[in-house]
Amino acid sequence: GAATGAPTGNQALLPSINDTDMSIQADPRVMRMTVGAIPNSSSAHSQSKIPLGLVVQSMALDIDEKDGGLDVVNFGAQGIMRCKRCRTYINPYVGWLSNGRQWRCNVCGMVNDTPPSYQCHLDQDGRRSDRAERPELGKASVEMVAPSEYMVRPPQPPVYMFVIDVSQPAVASGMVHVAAETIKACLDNLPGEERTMVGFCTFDSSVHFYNLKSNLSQPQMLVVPDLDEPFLPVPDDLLVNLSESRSVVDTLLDNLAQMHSQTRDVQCCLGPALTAAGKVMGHVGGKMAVMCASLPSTGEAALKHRENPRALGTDREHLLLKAENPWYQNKAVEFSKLQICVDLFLFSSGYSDVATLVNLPKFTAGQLFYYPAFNAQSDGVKFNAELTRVLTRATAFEAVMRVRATRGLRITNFYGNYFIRGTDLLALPNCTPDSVFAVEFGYDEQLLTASVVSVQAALLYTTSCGERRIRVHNLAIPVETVVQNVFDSVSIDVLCNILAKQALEVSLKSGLDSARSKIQQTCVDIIRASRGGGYGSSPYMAAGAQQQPTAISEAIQLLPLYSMALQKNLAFRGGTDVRTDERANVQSQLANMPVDHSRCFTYPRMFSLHDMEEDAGLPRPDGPEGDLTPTAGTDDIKLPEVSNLSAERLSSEGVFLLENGVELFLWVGRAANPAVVSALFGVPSLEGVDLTRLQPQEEGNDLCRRVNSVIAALRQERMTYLQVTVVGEGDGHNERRFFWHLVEDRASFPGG
Amino acid sequence: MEVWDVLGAEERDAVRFSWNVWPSSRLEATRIVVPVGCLYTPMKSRHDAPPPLAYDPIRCNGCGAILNPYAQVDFMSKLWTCPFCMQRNHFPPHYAENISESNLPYELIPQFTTVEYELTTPPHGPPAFVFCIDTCVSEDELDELKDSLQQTLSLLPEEALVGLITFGTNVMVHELGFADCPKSYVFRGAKEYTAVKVQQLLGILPAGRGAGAGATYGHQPQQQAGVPGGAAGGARDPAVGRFLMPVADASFQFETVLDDLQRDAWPVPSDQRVARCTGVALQVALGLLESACPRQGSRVMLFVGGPPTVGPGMMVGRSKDETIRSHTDLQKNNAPHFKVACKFYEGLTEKAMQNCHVVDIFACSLDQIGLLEMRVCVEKTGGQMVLGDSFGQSVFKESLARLFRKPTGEDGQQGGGAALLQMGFGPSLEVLTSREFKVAGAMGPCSSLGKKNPNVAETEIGQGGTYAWSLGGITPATTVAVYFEVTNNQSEPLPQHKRRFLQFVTQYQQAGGRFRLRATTVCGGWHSDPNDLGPLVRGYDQQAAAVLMARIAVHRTETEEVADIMRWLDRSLIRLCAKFAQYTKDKPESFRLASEFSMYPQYMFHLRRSQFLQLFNSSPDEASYYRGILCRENVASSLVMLQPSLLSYSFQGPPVPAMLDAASVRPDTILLLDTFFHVVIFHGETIGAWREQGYQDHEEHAAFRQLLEAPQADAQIIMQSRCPVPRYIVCDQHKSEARFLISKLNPSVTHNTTDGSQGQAIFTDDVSLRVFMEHLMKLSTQS
Ligand SMILES: [Zn+2]
Ligand SMILES: [Zn+2]
Repeated sequence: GAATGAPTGNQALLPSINDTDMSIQADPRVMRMTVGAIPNSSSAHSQSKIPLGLVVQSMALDIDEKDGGLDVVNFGAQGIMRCKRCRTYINPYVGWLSNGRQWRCNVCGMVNDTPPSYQCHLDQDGRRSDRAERPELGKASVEMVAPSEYMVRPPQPPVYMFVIDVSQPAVASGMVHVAAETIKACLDNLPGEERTMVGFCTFDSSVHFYNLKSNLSQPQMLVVPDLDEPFLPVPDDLLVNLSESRSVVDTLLDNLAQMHSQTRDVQCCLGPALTAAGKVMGHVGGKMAVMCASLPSTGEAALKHRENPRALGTDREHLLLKAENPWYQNKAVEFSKLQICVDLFLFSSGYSDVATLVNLPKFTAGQLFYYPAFNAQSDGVKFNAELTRVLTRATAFEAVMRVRATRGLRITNFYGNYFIRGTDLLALPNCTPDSVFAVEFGYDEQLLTASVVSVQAALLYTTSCGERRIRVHNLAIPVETVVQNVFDSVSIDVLCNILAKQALEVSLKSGLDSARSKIQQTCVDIIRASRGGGYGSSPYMAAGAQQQPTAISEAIQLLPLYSMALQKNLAFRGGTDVRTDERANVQSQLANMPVDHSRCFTYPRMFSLHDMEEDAGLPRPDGPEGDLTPTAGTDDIKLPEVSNLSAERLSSEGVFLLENGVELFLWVGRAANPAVVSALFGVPSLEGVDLTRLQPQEEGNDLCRRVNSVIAALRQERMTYLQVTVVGEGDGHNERRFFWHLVEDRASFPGG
Repeated sequence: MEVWDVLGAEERDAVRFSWNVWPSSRLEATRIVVPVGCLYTPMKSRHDAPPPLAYDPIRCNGCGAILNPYAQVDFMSKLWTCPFCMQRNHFPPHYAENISESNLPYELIPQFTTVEYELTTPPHGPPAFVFCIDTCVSEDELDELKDSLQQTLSLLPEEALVGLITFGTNVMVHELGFADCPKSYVFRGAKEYTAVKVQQLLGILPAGRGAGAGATYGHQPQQQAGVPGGAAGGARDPAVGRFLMPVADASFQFETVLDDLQRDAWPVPSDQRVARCTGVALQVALGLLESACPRQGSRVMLFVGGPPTVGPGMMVGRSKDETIRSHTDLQKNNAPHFKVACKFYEGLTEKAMQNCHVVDIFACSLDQIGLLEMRVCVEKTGGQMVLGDSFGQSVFKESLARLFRKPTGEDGQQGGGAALLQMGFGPSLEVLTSREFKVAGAMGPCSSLGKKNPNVAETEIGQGGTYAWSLGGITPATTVAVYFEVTNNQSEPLPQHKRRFLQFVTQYQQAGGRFRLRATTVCGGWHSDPNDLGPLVRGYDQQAAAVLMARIAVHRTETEEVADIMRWLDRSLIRLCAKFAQYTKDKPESFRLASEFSMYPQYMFHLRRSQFLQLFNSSPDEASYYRGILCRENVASSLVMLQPSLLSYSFQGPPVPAMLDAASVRPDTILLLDTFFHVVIFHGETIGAWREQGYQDHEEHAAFRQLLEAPQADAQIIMQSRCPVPRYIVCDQHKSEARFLISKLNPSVTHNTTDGSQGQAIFTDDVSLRVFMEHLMKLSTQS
C-alpha cells in the first residue's frame, strides 16, 4: 500500500482511495448523499450547482434488524478507539502503518498509536488480518458501548410525560378519550421495561398535576390555578415508576376523559402547563408528549390570533410562517438542555399558530403532529396510530450527534429538528428511527487533497435499558475530477430532498415567491451546468465538452419535473388557499422528511384501482428476477400501475388512489362502475353520501380486500398514518385539494 | 334584710353582678373599689324555660327596649310605659285585642324576665364547616387526626356543608364534589391571596364581583338535589357542590381524601423547620367561605401541629437558628414577625366577623404554634381554642367532639339536624340601661359595634364607647363581662324605691339557619346612705367580683407590665378591705371580713400566682390560651381557673374539700385537683407504694381499690362537662408529673420551713397565703 511508504507524522497525508474498501458503505436507509462522487475543487463544486448534501437517519435501523442489523462493540478497559486530534471513531477507512502499531485517521490524517491490546498484523495489502472479526473495521455501521467517561450523570431511565389539554374543546373533540385509551394501550410497550417512568399534566385555564404514588388507592388530581408562578404542588410522585404505580396510572387513564367531561372551561394555558411539566421531569429529561386543542389563550406565552387571510398570496405571507412569540423557542432551548424532547400534537378547529408552536419540537428534536379540527370519529385512528408509534418506537435518550467529514470539507448547514451546541454538535434529547437530519457541506480548501472523502455520523445516546452507546455510521465517496461523472452520480431523490429543505429556509427568510424562484433557478442552473452551457471556459471542463451541449445526464433527467412539482407543493405553492397553520405544518414535515418520503411528497403516486391487475394488492415476495414492479410493506404487496399526475389520466369511470407520503386520496369518478363502488364502500353510488366520514370498507369482496392491503402496505412505509380522504368527482373542496397534486397540469398551479 | 340568691338569679337570667345593690351616686360608686359590673351568659340553657316565642318582639318607640315584665301596662287604653325611658307605647292591634290582667303575653309575665323569640326573619342556609388540616405533622399524629375527623363527620347534621383544606408547604383546597378522584386546588404557601383572588382561582367568584374576564374559569357546579339554597333561595353559589358539600353527599369523598392523605412531602433540611403556611391556609379557607356563605354562620376549623413558618402570618422563620419568640423577646421587641403576623390575622378576623364566620384552632404540638398571634381570630370570632400536646389526647379528641354535642333530652322540635348544634353565629349583644347609669364597656369574646346612645358612658372599661357588641360565635358557655358607670350625681339623690333597669338583647343565627333573640331584663335597687354599708355588703357577690377583676387584670396584660397590674390588684384589695372589713385602726389582729367578702382575698392571692399573670412557667402561646379561655367562661368555671378545687380522699370517710395548701398533701390520701385545664389525681407516697405493690388487686384490700377508684370516677364527671376537655393526669407524690398539683398549692410549707410542719415542702420563694393575709390585715388597718 501507498500509505506504508509515507513518512510518519506527515499530517498532510490521508488514506488513499486505493487503500479504502469502497464496498463498505452505510445503508442508504441510514445515510445518503446527493452525489456519489465529489467534485475535487471548490470551484468545480460551485459550477456544478449541485449541493453536497447528506441525509442522516441514525436510528433508522434496529440493532437486531433482519438485514443490516448493527453489531455492538465493546472496547472494554482499553477504551474507545478514536483519533487523538479530531476525535473520529475508528472505522473501516482508517489507514494502518508500522505493521499495525499506528493508524492514520481518515478524517484529519493524524497518525495515532495503536494500543498494544488492539494491535494486529497487517496482510500484504496493508490491511488488518482481523478486520472480518472486528465489526468496527469491517462494517460501515456499528454501535459502541460507551464507558463512564461518556456520561455526565447516570444514564436516565425512559421518561414519558403527558401534557394533555382537557379544556372543553379538547374533551368535546374526543381527543382526550383517544389519547387516554391509546396511552393506556401502549403502557406495556413503552421502552425501558422496569425502569420506565411516566407522569401526567393536564390543563385548561389551570394546570393540573396527578399524584401517582404507588400506595395510593387512586390518583390525586392537583390543580394549580395560579398561572402567575407555576409551581409543583408536591415534590415527588408526579413522575413515577410505571411498573410500581401501574394500577394508579391505569385508573387515571380509565377515568381521565370522564373526569373532565363536565368541563365548561374553554381556556388554554399551554405555556404554564409546559413550564409545570418541565419542572416535573426536568431533573431527568425524556419525552414530553404535548396535546393541545386550541390557541394558547391564557397565562404566560398566550398567543395572539394573528391569522390574516388577506396576507395569503402576498409578500407578507411568510411573516405568518415565522414564530411570533420567542417564548416557545426559549422554552424549547431550555428543555433541550434538560434533555426533554417535545412531541407536539395539535387539534384545534381554529387557528393555533402552528408556526410559533412548532419551535417546541424543532429545538427539542421532537415531532409535530397536526390534526386540524380533530374529530375522534374521523381522525381518531390516525391519532391513535401516530401516538402509538411515538410511544412504542425505539428511542435514544439524551443524545448528541456529530457529523465529521474528511479534511477539506466542512458543514455549512443543518436541517431538521435539533438544537446546536457549540458549532456542530446536535443536541437531541430524543432520537428515534423517525428523526431525520440533513447537512450540507462546503469546501474549506480550494482543492481537495484526498482521493476519497469519508463521512462519519456518530450518535452518543442512552438506550432504553440505560446503557450509554455510540452509534457510528460511515460513508466513503470518491473524489472526482470529471464533472460529468459528478452529474451522473447524482441521486435525484436526495437532491430534491436537500433542495426542498434549502427552499424552506428561503421561504421563511424572504417569502414563498423567492423559495419557488430558488427551486426553479437551481434546477435551471444544474441542467445548464450539466450540459456545459455557459461554463465552457472553465478549466475544469474536459476540453471536448466545450463544443456541443451534451444530453442531460440520466441521473438528473427528472429534475425539471420534480422541481416543478416542488413549486406546486403545499409547502411552496402560491395562491390564497393554503391556510397558514396547514402550511406551517407541511413545512415542518418537509424539513424532517427522509428521502423516500420526500420523493412521494414531491411527486405523489397515483394508482388506478378500477382496472388494476389481478395480482395487485397481493403479496409478491418472490417476483421474477429483474421484475421492477413496485411493492410495498412487510408482505411485499404488489402495487397497482402508477399514472401520471395529470387530470387527463382521470376518467369518470375510474377510481384512483393518490399517495403523497402524508395522506391518501381516493378519487371516485361520477360514472364509476357501481360494482366497484359497492365493493369498496358498500353503496352502489356516492351520490348524496356524506363523504367526510366515508372510508373504504374493511371487509368485502376480493377487490376491496386488495385495495385495503394496498392501503395498508402504503401505510407501513410511512412514519405518519396515511388517512384516506374519499373524493367524489365534482366534490368541490376536497377535489380541489386532490387536484393540487396533479402537478403536471398547468391549471392547478396558481401563483406559479 | 335582703338575702341574695345569686345562683337563682343566674339560673333564671344567666347574669351575675359584682354588686347586687348599687350606690346611688357616682362618687360612692367609685369608693366601693370593685367595679359595678356583671357576667352575662347569653346562650345559657335554662331548664324550665318556655319554648321560644314564635313572633318578633315589641320594642319601645323611644329607646328600643323590648317589652318586659317591668313595663307598666294600662289595660284600658292598651298602652305600656317603658321602664327605661318612660315612653308610652301603644300595643299593636293583635296584642291590644287580647290583652287583659288575666291574659298576659309571655313577655309580661313577671317570672319571665328572660324571654326568647324565634324571629320571623327568613332563615339562612345550614352552616358550613371547613376543616383545615396541617399535614406537617408526624405520621402518627396525622393518623390520630384523621381518625378524629372521620368521627366528627358523623356528628355533623346531614344538611351541614363541609369543606376540606390541607396545608403544609402549600395549601390544598379539596373539591369534594368531584367524584372521579380526589381533586384539590393548590395555593402557594408563601404567597398572599386576597379573598377575591382565592375565589377567582377556585372559579367560584360570585357573579358581579371583580375579575370580569375570567368568566369561563372552572367547572360549572354539579347540581345537587335536596340542599336548601342560600338566603336568596335562587342562584346557588358556585362553591357549593364543589368545595362545600352537604355532609350526606360529601362523606364518601371526604373519607377517601383522608384515607389517602399523606404528610407534606417536601424535604426538610435538618437545620430547618418544616414549611407550614397556616396563615395562607386560613386566608384561603375564609376566602372560600366568604364566597359561598356570606353572612351565614360557618366555621373554619384549623388543626395545627406546629408554628407557621412561611408566608403571611408566619411566626418564625424556617431556619432553626432563629428561635421561637419568648416572653422576653416580646418584651424587648425582639420578635421580628410578631407585629406583621398580628396585623395579618387581625385583617382576616375583620373579614370573618363581617361574614359571621368563626375560626376554631385545635393546636396539638410540643412547640408553640403562633396562638398568640392567631388568638385574635379565635377570640373575636368566638371560636373554640384547644391547646394540647398530641392529637391522640382526649384533650383534643373529646373537645372536638363536644363542639358538636347536641343537648341531651331535647327532641329537636325546631327541625332537628343543624338546629340542635349548640352554636350561635353572628350574634350581637345590646345592653340598655335606665338613666341613672351607663354602659362603660364589655370584656370577653366581643368587639364593639360602635353604637352610641345616651346610655354609653364616657369612661371606657374594656371595649367601650358603645352599647352593642358583636360576639362572633357563641356557645352555651360564652360569657361576657359588662361594666357600668353610675352617673347619678350625689346632689340629686334618687327617690326611695327607685329601681334601676338593665336589658340584654342578644340576637344570633342558630346553626339551623333561623334567627333567635333573647331578651333579659334585670331590675335592681339603689342604696343611698353612705354611712350604712350593710346593704352593699350583703349584695356583694365575691365570686362574680373576683372574675370581673380577673378579666380586667388579664385585659391589662395586653398593654401593661405584669408588675404594675399586681400593684393595682394589691392596692385595690387593700382599699376594698379597708372600706368593708371590720377592724380597729392599726390593730391588724382586729381585722374581720363579713362572709360575703371572706373568700375574696384568697381569690386575689391565687389570681396573683396564677398562670394568667405569672409567665415563667408558660410560653406566650400558653399564656394567651389561658387568658383567652378565662375571658369567656362563666363565673363558676372562671373561679376554678383562679382557685382550683381540691378534694381529699382517705380511709377516714367520704371525700372532703381540702385547702389548696401544701399541708393538704398527706402520704395516705389521694387528692383530686381541678384547675379547669387539668384534672390531677395525686397519690400520696404511701398510697402510691401500695398501688405499686398491687394491693388493689387483692380481694382483702377491696377498700383500697375503692379508694383508688373513687377520685377517678369523680374526675370523669368533672371532665364530661368541660370544653375544652381538661388534661387528665394521674401521678404520685415526688414524681415528675406531681408538679401539676404542687405548683397550685399555697406554699405553706417550703424548703425554707424549719418548724417541722406537715405536708409537702414546696420549692419556692413565693409568699404563702398566711403571710399574704398578714400583710393585707396590716395594710388595711393602717390609718
Ligand atoms: Zn483525526
Ligand atoms: Zn324606652
